[in-house]
Amino acid sequence: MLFLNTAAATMSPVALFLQADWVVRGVMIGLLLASLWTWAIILSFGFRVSTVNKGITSFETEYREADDIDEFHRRAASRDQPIARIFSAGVTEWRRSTTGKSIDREGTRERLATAMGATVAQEVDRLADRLNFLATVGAVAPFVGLFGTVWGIMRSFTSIAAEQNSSLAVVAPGIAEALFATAIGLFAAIPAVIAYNRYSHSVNRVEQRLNRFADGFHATLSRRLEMEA
Amino acid sequence: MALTRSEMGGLAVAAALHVALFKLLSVGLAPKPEMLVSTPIAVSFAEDVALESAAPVISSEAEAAKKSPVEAPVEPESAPPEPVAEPEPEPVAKPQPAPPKPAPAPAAKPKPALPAKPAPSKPAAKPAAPAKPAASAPASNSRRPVRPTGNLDGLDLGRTNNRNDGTATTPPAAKMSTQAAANIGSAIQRQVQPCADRQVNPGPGADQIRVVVNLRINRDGSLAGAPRIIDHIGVDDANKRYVERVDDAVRAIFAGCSPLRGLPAELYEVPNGWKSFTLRYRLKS
Repeated sequence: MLFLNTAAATMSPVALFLQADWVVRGVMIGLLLASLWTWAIILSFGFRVSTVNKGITSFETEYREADDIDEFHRRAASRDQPIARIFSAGVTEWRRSTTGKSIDREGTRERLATAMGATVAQEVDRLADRLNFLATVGAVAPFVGLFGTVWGIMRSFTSIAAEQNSSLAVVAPGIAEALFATAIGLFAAIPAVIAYNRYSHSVNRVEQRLNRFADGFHATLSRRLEMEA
Repeated sequence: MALTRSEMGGLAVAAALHVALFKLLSVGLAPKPEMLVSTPIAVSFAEDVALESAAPVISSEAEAAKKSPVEAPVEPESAPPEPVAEPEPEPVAKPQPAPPKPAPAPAAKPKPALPAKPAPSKPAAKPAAPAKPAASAPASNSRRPVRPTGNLDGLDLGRTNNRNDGTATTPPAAKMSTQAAANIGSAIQRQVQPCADRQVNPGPGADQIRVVVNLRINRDGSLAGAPRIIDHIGVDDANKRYVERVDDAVRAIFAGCSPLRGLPAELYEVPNGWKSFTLRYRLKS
């Protein structure tokens, strides 16, 4: 059974929330939602990055072992992976460029590089889509919490003025609830900043791996282009 | 932006984690701050300002003369020797209730080591006393009557026994001052403390209640009636339920540890004296 302690002199978040001013309450709710979404992104992103990395590793292994690119492409087209889409983009562009009567080798090379580079960029964009939210939360949440704190302390001081009583019992609850806003802000911001830095690094590594694969595949296609001449 | 499946899962897990943390903080994993036990200091307001002076009234009367009951006339050495037959007239002539044994008494006795004793214990020797000096005076054969009389009566007061000068009858400062009332109050509290120690504390915060209690006291210190509870000070929401029990305890304390001893007798029946004394009493003071 969940027993919520709502006495004033506790650290209970419920009590602190219930005592707070509506502005501070709004700040708290917003920061809590931000924290929720931050953690959702952190968890899902970690899962996605590891999936993408595993997919790249297995795809590269299979690609190295494949004998026939057309046959491999048939199998790879069904895979929902960034690296498979880059491969598909290369193969599609290769087919388009080499089905005509005359082959412009230089143009084909350029088009292959552009098509695969664009796909890499698109995949990285999709991957890094949510990271900007982490950056935003990491930068803004402390300030939002600070705003709530400042507001709450202002309110405490006005209550001192109103009651003509500066005893700690009058001031302390307001300050505690106000500081709770900053606490939630930091609670949301710290994981966001850490995750942002770490996942930016991860995204960069994924991008480099995809680029390396694209370059290697481009080199392979480029060699084939010369052989077909 | 539509949520992907992994994002939905992440959101669910994140929500679960937040709720779990919230529960932990609420249920009390977070250390609860200890309740600060305020130790209040008893402050008593001096509403009884001593508007009246308790100092002795200055009398314009002359002070009573300080005299020894026995006059010790030092007569000049050059005085001619009196006739032997003439006794000392002064001690005899004095209407003293207890004329001392005059100086020659030790001289007559072989042992002069006990000069002080005979004086108070021998009022019966009065008639013989005048005779003795007459008999022994010739032996000394001189008029040097500065002798230990052995009589201290009156000397301790520094006054004569015959009250002929001063007319003041009231003892000085027979007026209840704030200081005196505080002294009496603390004396009473000290005397009932053993009974207070036997009382069970009615409840937390009960020792914050100060009971204004009126005691009607006989002259011998016993209580003329049950203590009357007049008022309570320091009752708040926390301890108001203990008021009745505090009252009972206070009655039991004063009933159990009376009669009260050692209260100044001269302040019994003066205005605001301790014949009816009101004090603020607190358990466990």
